[in-house]
Parts: sequence; C-alpha cells; structure tokens
Amino acid sequence: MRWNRSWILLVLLASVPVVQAQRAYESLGRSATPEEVRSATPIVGPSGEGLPPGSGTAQQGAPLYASKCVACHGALGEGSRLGPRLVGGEMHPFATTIWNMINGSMPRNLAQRGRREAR
Amino acid sequence: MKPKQSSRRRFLKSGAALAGLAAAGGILPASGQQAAPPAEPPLILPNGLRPLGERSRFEKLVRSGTATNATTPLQDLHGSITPTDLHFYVNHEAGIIPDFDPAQFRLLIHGMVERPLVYTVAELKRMPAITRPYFLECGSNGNPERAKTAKTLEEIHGRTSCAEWTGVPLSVLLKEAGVKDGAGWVIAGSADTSKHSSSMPMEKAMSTALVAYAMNGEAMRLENGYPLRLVLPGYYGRITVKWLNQIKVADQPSMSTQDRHVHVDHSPAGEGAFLMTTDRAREMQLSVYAKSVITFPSGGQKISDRGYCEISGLAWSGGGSVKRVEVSTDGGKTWKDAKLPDAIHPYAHTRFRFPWTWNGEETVIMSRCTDEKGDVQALASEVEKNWGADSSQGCTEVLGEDCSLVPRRTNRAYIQPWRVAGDGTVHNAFVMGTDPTELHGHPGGDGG
Repeated sequence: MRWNRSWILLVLLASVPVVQAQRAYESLGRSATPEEVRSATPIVGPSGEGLPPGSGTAQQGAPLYASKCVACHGALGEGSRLGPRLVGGEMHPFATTIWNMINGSMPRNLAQRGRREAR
Repeated sequence: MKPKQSSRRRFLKSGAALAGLAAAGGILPASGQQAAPPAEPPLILPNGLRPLGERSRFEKLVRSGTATNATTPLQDLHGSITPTDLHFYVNHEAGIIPDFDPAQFRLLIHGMVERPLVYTVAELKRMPAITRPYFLECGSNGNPERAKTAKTLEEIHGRTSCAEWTGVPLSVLLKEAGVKDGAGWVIAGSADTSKHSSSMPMEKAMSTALVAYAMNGEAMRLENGYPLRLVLPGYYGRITVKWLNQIKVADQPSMSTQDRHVHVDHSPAGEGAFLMTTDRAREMQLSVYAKSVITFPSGGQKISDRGYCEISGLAWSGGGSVKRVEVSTDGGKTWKDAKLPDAIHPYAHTRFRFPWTWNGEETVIMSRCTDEKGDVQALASEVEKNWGADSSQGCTEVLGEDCSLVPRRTNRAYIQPWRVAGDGTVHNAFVMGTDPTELHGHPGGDGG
C-alpha cells in the first residue's frame, strides 16, 4: 500500500483526541436530567437567582403570616417567648436569607411543615 | 515480768495485730492501694457470638445535650480519636435527624458545570478515596457566654471531636462534572429538615474538601450525616454539610440562613449598609483558629493528692498541623513546652502531655497552641483589647480591610484557664475582662 496524502490525513485524524473531554470514571455516576436539576432544593444567590417562580404582595402575605407565624412571632413581629423579634432585627439582612429561613425551617412545628415522624 | 520484756512483747503483739489488719485490707498504706487482692469477678457466660462490642458496666461515658445538640465528654477520653458514638452533633434550626435509605439517596452536582451529574452512594464508594483523621468543631464551641458560667470542659468546649473520615475528594467529582470558567464558589446542600446549605470558596472545594461516607472505618452514625456528608478540614462545622445531597457550582456565595454570618459584615455606617467580606476576612471567618484545651485536670475533676500529675490535653487548628503546645502552671506568668508524643496530623486533634508536680497549693493552669502557620492561641483579655468586654456583640463587628484585628465572633479559641484549688478540685477560671494572671491567688469563686 502506498502512503499517499489521504492515508496520512486519515491516520492523523484518528490520532487526534476527541475535543469533548471524557470523564475519568465514566461508568460511575450518570448525567442529571433537566427535571432532576429543576426539582433540586433551591439554592438561591444573593440577588435572587435560583428562586422558584412566584411573586406576592404584603397584602397577600398578611393572612399567611396570621395563620403560620403569629403564634410564635407576634402580630407585629415583635417576638414572644416562642420566637424571636422579626421587625428591626439584623439576623436576616437580605430577602434571600429570609426566604431561605422560611423555606427551610419555618414554621418550626413539625406537623405544620407537613413532615412525618418515623419513630 | 521485767518492764523491757513486757514492752517488747507488747510491741510484737501489736505488730502482729497490725499485720493481721493489713492482710484483711483494713489499713491502707500511703500509696492508696488496697493490700488484699480483689475477689474473683463475676463472669459473662458464653451465649453465642457477641456481634457488637460491649462496654464494661463500669464505663459510663455518654454525650450530654438535647435531641439536636450534643457534646463530647472530652475530659474523660484518651488519645485523639473520638469514639464514634461519642462524636458531637449540632443541627441548626432545631433540625430533626432524617433516616435515609442509602439505596435511594442521591448526590446531585450541578450549576456552572459542563455536565450535571448524579451519584448513588454505592457509586461513590467505588470512586478513588482517601482516609484522614480530621476534627470537626461547631462555630459556637467555646462561646464566651457559655464559658462564663459553665463548669466542665465538655460544657464549654464539647462541640468538637476528631474522627477518621473516608471519602471521595470533592475535586475528583468536580473534575468529572467539569467546572466552567468564572465559577469561584461551591455551595453544598443538605437533605435535612432545615434544607441547610453553606458556601465555600472554589479553592477549598478543589483542595481538601471530602465527600465522606465512612467514619472510623464504617458508615457514619445517623447523627453525623448518614449516608453522606462533606468534610472541610479546618473549617467550622456549619459548612461541613451533613446528609449531603447537592453540590452547586456558582460564581457567588449563596446568602443562606447560615451563610450570612460569613459573607456579610455589618458596616458601622448603620443598618442597611452591609459590606461583602474581603477574601482574607472571610477565610478567618471560615477557618478554626489555633486552639488547645487541658482535658486533665479540668473543671469538675479532682487531683487526688500532691505529687506527680501529668497534665494532658488536645490541640488543633484550622491552619493545619499543631506545631507547639505550651503549658503554664502559674496563671500565665511562665510557659513551658509540652510534649507532642504521638503522630501529628494536619487538621486533627493532637494530644499533648506535660509532666507536672503539684505542690498542693492553689494555682491556675492553662495551655497555648501554636500552629504551623505561626498563629498563636490568645487570651480572651487580649482579644478584648480590640473589641471591648461585651461578648454579646454577635454580628456587628467589622473585620477591617487588613484583618489586623482578631475577629471576636469567630475566635472561640480563647485560652482556657483552670483553677486548681487547695483541695485538688478543679474549676473553670475563664472570666471575660480578666487577665488570668490576676486570678492566681484569688480565694474562692469559680469564675462562673
């Protein structure tokens, strides 16, 4: 077989590594589906990126606050022996920290958060 | 009978009587040991395999605390590895311990990556792994408010333990996912009831961060994050996320409930004016300082008598390896090097021992750690020179651009003094606003 130009090119092409890097441990772990990524617990950035879709007003929030929050935090957010003061505090200086706190941990009562006890 | 003979006879008689008493164990010689050998102990009759080790009924070590916060009895332990079932645990926001089926558990890696990935626990156990002893410590450990009133080492500093962790370096997983340019932060998310998450700089994620599945040789306990947790050597416990189910790669830290302490400084300009922390200040907030505590003799314990008494304790640092531990037995006036007789591992509890002869007089003893970076453990009074004596100042300090002021809030690594009273009882001598060298010679008072 004569080594003409096309053979040389073929050999060169075959030896060029694939542009997209292969994983070192390809058989372990799999690609996440878009649904899996979407349904992960939101980790929210400082300016709100990562928040789930939604919106609301203070008027819409008032009845929610009355039913879920007043018992521990007081009608005016002044706090009680069951929960700290909310208004004028410095623990949650950003809206995202407030959102994260409520989404993750509030109300503290287990039943209200729809959790089930195993034992 | 001649008087000499009778006195000799009386001497011999009384000597025999003494010997008899000693044989019956009725007289204790000066060493404090019983002369008579112990009776044969009751036996545990064989009744099949003993599948799990059982402590002697004479060993009663347990944790103390609540369902969501528990401390290690450091003052009663030896060596530097904490027994698995005595490891401390702290769950934020009254988090309740979940009971996961490892076959159903998944770790998602996503965000600014080329390919988001999902791993099972079984797959992670087949990835390249390392094993290292690492301490964990809660950021509230050694809190001055607690230190002021507590009595024992466990009460003040019990939110730290050291275990041998096995897992996959997070860097291996991040390389599999392919980190995109511009991504400088990694946020770890938990499957716990409080949806805890916490952010770390990419540099930490790509260096020593470990996705751990084993603790002291076997799967970790439920309380410590079963089946997966993050271990960040040298970093405060809050960020070593338990029940780890999410790794999100980003270009900014998230402003989660727990992250706000680290990434935000409250500006003295007033409410509403917040500064993003500088890199250096942030590293000081994230990393545990050089720290040490004397475990024996410590608060609530007693030195039984005068004479030789080896002082023993633990030292550790988020800066890496312990380089040196010094002990003072005169209230801080003079310091001498303690021995570090065992292997020294970076980011691990390190046992120190100090030979001491107690002369029976009241004194104050304490230890001081220096780490490999040259960080030296400080007295609370030294820190107060910068910040004032009000330890209730929580989030309101400003670290300053050059971080020249030792940050109060994150430095729970104050030197821990113990007062040894004349009767051998040991008391907490930590007092804010008081130089321990002034405590020596103060009669009475526990310091709390």
